[in-house]
Amino acid sequence: MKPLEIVVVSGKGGTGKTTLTACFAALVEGPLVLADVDVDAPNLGIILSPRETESRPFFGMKVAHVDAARCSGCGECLRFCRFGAIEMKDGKAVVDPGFCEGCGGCLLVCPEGCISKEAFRRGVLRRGETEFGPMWHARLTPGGENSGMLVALVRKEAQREAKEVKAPLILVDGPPGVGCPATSSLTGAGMAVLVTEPSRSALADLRRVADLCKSLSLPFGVAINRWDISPEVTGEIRSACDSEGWPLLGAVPFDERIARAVSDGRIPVEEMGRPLVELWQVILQRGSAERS
Amino acid sequence: MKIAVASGKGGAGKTSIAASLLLGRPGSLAMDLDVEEPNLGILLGFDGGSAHPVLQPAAYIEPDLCSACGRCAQACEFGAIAWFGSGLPVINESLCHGCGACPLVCPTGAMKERDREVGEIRSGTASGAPFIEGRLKVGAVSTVYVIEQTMRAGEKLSVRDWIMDGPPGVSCPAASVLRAADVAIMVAEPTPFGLSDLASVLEVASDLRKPAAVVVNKAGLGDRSVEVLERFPFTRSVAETGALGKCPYSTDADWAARTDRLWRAIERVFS
Repeated sequence: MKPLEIVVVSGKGGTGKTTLTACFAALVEGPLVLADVDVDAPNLGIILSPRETESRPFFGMKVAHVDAARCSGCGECLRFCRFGAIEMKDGKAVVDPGFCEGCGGCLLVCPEGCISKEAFRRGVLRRGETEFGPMWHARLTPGGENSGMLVALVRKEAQREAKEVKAPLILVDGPPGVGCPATSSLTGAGMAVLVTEPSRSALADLRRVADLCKSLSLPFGVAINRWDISPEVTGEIRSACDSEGWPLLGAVPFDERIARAVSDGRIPVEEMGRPLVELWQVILQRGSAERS
Repeated sequence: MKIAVASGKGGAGKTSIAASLLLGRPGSLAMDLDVEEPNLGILLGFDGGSAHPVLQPAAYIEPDLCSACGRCAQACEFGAIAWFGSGLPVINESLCHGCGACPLVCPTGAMKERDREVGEIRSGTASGAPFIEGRLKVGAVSTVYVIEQTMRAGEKLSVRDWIMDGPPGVSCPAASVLRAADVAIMVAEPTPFGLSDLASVLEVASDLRKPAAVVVNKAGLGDRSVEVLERFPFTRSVAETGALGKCPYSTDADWAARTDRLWRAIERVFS
């Protein structure tokens, strides 16, 4: 049977995706494969401390490179590029690989034929062993492009390993936002857990990430972290769940000991207590129901 | 001066600090460039203003003109055009980056472009000051495009000083905001996660040769080779204020005093 892939996302950053993912991992019974696909800001490894077993460079799409010796400085490439990736320096075109999307249009318009495409190292893909199972993660080179591609690669490796070792479950710590990395982390997954917190900002972001899940036809549910920081806004989130038909999976209270545990590099399973265990049970029930 | 408020980690407090800076010294243009999840307007009480769509070109085929040569599919690096050896190529618009390469290679002029909506820009006033925000359409992946168009629209408002509330992360969206800024204020929280992500975003600023300094939100951080401008304590009252969609500058005297000190520190460090 295909492993169930549960992706933890949030829209808004800082709502507790990574902390909750680590807690869930600690509660899983049986084989598990983990993945951290927040390749911009990968933090699951900080709390799970994987022992590295593999590391390989990630090359994104090839991007344009100008041979300065042959460039006449005509500016055709600059006028063509829609990504603002080319500028003229000392009468020569220079490509910023952080902005080039690799479309190749500049190669087509260059009258000198002095632009070629080169692969750049854009990040690193890693595998490690944690006490809860193998973990795939990656880090994008700061300033880089192609984060969606790297997200897809990490998930693919985790899926492959889960099949190989017959792990029924993959837990994925996802990125914030609703753009390219978030879309890439959710496409084709089994279920999404939307972690929110009681703030109007987080609720606004929750609406957007719920819309994204719907547009991808992905089953999802909502988990409220630090719910007691504002029982009033938690009430608003609950009403939104009711009126929008979003399944509410559970709620975990705020406790300064949780923050302290994470700062000490510990997984705050005990500090979160009963509400966490109940939340995880509901997630698993939903996940298995979606699969059958 | 154009100030970008950035942080590698999400939820570090970028928006709270950006809103505080704007309330502490009115006159700058408030610009929300976290277009995937724009929240600055919530904290500043933006009334919605007026909205304009962000349009990005996408390829389409004029069937009558197409000679079914397949060159467009060959040229497309994003896999957005499929051609099966004969007949009309098929375009998957959600994969199209709007780069303009396929019209270049089409020998018959059948490959054309039309605008599709990938987001919107809203502008008006918030807390009595000029405000603009970009908003990516859910399901679109043109984050950087919407950011750039929002900045372009911001230029037209002719306000000299900007406070730009940026996106989290260290990839192209964050880099595009830092690239447009004169200086960067990095908001970090003193957790192992916050520290790790701060290091990454400082690397981006340094690659772009942007002067950067750090604001510590939610308490005290170890000394690094960048100047710490101000420390914003983590208190339950600040968290509760944020929960209600208000900026702590307006409700917490200590926070307001720290914001005023932060302004003086910004002027000192970047003068």
